[in-house]
Amino acid sequence: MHHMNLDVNGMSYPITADASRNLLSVLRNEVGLTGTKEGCDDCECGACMVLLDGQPVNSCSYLAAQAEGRAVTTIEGLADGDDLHPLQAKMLELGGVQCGFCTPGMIMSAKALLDRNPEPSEEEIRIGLSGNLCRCTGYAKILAAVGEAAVEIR
Amino acid sequence: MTTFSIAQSLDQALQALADGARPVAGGTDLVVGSRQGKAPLPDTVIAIDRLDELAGISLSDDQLRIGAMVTHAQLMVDPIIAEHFSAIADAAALVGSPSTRNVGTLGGNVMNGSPAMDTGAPLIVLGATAELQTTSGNRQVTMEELWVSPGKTSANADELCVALNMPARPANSGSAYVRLEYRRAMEIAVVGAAASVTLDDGGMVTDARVALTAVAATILAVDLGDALAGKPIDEASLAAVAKIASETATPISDLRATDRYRRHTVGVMARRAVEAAGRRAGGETIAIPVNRTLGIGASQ
Amino acid sequence: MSQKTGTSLGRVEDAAFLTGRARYIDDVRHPLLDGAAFVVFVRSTMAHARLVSVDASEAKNAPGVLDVVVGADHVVHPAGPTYGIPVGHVFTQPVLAETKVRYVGEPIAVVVAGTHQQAVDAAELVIVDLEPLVPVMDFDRALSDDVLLFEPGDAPQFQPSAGDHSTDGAENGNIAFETSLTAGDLNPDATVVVSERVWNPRQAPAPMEPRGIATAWDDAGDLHVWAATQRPHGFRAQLAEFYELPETNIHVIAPEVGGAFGGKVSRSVEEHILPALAQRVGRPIRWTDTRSEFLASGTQGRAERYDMTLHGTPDGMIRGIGVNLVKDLGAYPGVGTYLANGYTIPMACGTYDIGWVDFSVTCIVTNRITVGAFRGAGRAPYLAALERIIDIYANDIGMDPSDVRRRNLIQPDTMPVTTIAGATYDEADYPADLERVLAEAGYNDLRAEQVERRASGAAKQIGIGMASYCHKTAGGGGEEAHVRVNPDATAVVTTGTTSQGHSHATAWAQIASDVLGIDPANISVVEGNTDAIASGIGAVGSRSLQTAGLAIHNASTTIAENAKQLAAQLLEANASDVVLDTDTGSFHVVGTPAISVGWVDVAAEMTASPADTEGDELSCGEYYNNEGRDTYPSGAAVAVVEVDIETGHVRLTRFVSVDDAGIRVNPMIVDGQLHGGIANGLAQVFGEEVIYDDDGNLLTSNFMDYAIASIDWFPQFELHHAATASSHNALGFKAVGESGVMAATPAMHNAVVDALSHLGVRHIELPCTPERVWQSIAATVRTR
Repeated sequence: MHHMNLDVNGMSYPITADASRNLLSVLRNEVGLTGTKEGCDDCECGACMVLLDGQPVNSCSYLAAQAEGRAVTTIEGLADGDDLHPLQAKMLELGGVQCGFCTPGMIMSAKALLDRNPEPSEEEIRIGLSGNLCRCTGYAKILAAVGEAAVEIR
Repeated sequence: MTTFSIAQSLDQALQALADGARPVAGGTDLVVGSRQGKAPLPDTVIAIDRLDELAGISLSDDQLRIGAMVTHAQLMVDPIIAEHFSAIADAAALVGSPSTRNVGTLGGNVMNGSPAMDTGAPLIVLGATAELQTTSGNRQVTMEELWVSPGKTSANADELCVALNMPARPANSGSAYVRLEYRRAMEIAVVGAAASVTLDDGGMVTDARVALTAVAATILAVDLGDALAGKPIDEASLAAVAKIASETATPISDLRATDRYRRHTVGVMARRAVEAAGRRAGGETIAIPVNRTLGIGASQ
Repeated sequence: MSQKTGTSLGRVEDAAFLTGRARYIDDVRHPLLDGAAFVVFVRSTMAHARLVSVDASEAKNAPGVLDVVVGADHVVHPAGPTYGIPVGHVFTQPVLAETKVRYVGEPIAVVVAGTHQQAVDAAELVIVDLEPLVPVMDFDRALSDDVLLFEPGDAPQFQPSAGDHSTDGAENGNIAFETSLTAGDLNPDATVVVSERVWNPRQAPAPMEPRGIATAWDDAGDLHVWAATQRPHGFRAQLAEFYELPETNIHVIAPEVGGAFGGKVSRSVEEHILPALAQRVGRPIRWTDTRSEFLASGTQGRAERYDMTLHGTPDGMIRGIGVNLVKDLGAYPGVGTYLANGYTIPMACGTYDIGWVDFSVTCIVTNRITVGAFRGAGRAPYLAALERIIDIYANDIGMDPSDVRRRNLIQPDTMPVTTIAGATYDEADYPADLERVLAEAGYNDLRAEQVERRASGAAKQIGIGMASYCHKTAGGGGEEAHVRVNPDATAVVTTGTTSQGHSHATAWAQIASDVLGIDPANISVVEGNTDAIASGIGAVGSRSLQTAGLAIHNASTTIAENAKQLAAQLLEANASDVVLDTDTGSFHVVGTPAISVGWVDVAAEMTASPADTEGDELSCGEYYNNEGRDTYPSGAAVAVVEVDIETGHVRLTRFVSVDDAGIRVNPMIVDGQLHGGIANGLAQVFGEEVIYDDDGNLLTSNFMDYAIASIDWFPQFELHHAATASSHNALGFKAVGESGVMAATPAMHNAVVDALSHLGVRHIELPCTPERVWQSIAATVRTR
């Protein structure tokens, strides 16, 4: 068993788990944050997206132990109490959510995009979200929500 | 049961490898492989992604050095790469998705030895060598020597790829990488081609190289013969390039394409890569990645 | 209050989804599930084989293993084919394979262990001896009956309650079901006869959340099941049959479900066996499949081969349609069997006035995964084939495809209209929708641009395609709803429908709010719980709005009327003079709005004066049955593509549609449903296809090889709306869940062929992959 301290959403979690465990599984089962989802088993769908030092990472394909010493941000770390982050608020306002299963990962990718590029073009939003699959929305309203959230944040 | 540690120094990492540990950079391929039951995680794993010795991109008078842990995300926006080694940036920008580009490293990809890797053909046309290091020394290996067969390299288990090195570019040179793809993200090249072109003041080709992706057991360097040397890049010479590329390819048929289709389209890709490299050599700026700028790949 | 029907109110359920608090099956934590064990299925590695033996002895002794079960253990018997599927009992899938395996991935044994990893490790120790049989993959081979999947006596053992299963149906060979319809007269002026074979390839529903189930027995012997399902009540009914329990002893909860699209209609043997395993090991059990397991064992859709024949006049009048459909049901007939009579044949005329149809359907079994439902099931594939043969006809007689459609569309003044295929279409204006979409797309300019592009000989050629559609929804029957207004003026709506992204929590609240004048934010919706309401069909076939929506409306109306009686007492007026102002949720005497009472006052009056009628005046249950008055949402679309002649690569540059979903409760939600459906439909043209090799191995078992649409495939969709009220229900509702698929596939498919028609290309099979497009160009080059 491997001992690690994970910094998740600004809290420190001492974890003891097999070193082969991926970050997704440790977040969901040891840390107890189930907002991050598993939609595939080969890094193709983006439902498990979290931020590692602000950069997007597929947590299903990343060893939990390797995240030690880095800041992990999950969907649970985005809203400030009851106040939704502008990305969340715009997704709600513009109908970017349907079944909701891809939503946490989609928002984390969008967050990483807007953090490094506050004024993305539609093309840049498409590239920024290109690692996230959604079967419900055809992506149209998600694109709109991220575009408007960027304006809101600026 | 896997033992995991994070290397604090290059020496520590090399010693661990000498003791049988397996290095991980981003770890994506290793973790995915183990989750799908293809290969269990190794007994001892050492993370090398935080080593300063393996980071950074530096250009000296005669050589470019790319640290093995430089990520695709860094490569696609680095000004030196974009301006002088454009084919690498073209390729890095096409790899995976933002998250896999953020985690995946050039060294990690090179040592995986996939014949479909996007950055492979650019490294060959730019004359790159891999710098392999052990506790007792280091050696430079050309890409053609390194890649043996799908997923297999000539490196020993205790050798760590620390950098990719390549000569600085002559004046009036350009390079480009294009691929045929069915979608833009999380995609593997159906076929691809990289080209490097150097022109004289009159616009005649003095040096040209082409390498092909996903049409053989390894990334394939093409012998262009006299198809381009001493000639302008025009319809006739481009047609000759396409023909040679198609004839050089030895593709397989699989779910994604038949050998016949790959053979045809790799010629089209080679021609488009040479055309773009030639335009860059002539001083034109074509935004990274060429696939998007010229509308070669998937939609929108 | 500006949040009623017709308003794009933001979804009231979204906060949980957006912050990671929503609970899906894998997130459910419940005391009954504490200490749950895990299962792993041992699956067939061959498509067709005789099961010689299964040796689980070593696996049973592996660390952490609680139980290993094989087919011969007969821990639970199937209850017989469900859904009234009209096939012989021989075609029923055993819960675990007994004598033969018939698809790669078919469950043979199941391992129960304390941890998932222990179950995985032990599953590898189960030794399965298979004696290979010839796999039946090709349609014509299946029809030839040279190799049979089912032979007399192959039927599994059934529960005693399954009734008579003496006629096993094996005598029909690989044909599990046949049906046909011939109607009308063929006008002798139909001198042009155009034929083409049009395939509609297999697809996987592929919701982002795979399947999952958690199950436990309580001390009283009741069965509790949490499942990612579209049909909690239907699942409960099946479990009742399988386990011979009264439905009241079974409690099924569908938590948040991460998409379904037909893939969670719940008839999988994996889900049916888990309660038996939980009983055997005396522990709760959880199972969530991985993506690759889901793609390799969940139900699939489509898989239809159409031989289309169109009979028309030389000047573009369509007189008759001949259809010979062969549908692949996969190894074990399921919901797919039911589609032909229920949904496909009724759509024979599409949106056109056609005098004669000759429609035959042959449903076969092959060594592939069972075909169930997938968004647009039974309708989208046929409409795609019909719209394709119309374009071929237009091409052959040298007429613009828009003109052929203009000449044949059903005219609005005849509606509602019953077609010769027996379907009664409700109100719509198909010709107006077509004209509008052509105008919005700038059709004439697009054609002019195409002429220019062709003349230039450019490597990238453009194509323009169109399609018109209407489709059957609801499929008869009804839904139940219960509405209650609480003393604090909040309300609860409970239905038997379920939502897997359908936004019921918002839409149902808006419908109730229309009547009650209570803010939708104060109306909660309860769904997906068999304990909360007696019946429910669930989310299938675009049916919830025009069934449950009416039930909610009617229940709310009863409550409002009761409330007026109570308000009348407070206002000291006659009830007939009291009005409910639905903008403010207050009651007043007509003409004197200044003096009013609210729901809190009314509720207090109710509790203060014991009701003189039975029950509670502010609570009402209603069952709404549409009595066969189904609704037919409709529309038209134009797609524009650019094809790279050198590589065959297709780029979609525009998609324009006009859709008539009837009265829209929430236009934003309607747009979202259309977007998703359009994306599904377009993906089938781009390349989404389930592929098997000749040995029956599934080649598309992950999202790399089974490519669903990603964010870079589409331009911004250009949506326009008609909103014709249907007379088939009191609120004018139609439906929207599957509509987007209908025109998207044929419009883009027609566009791809259109881009190459000047080269002599007449038809390209779906999906129009770059290679297939390139091959069709190369073929015409060779013949020129």
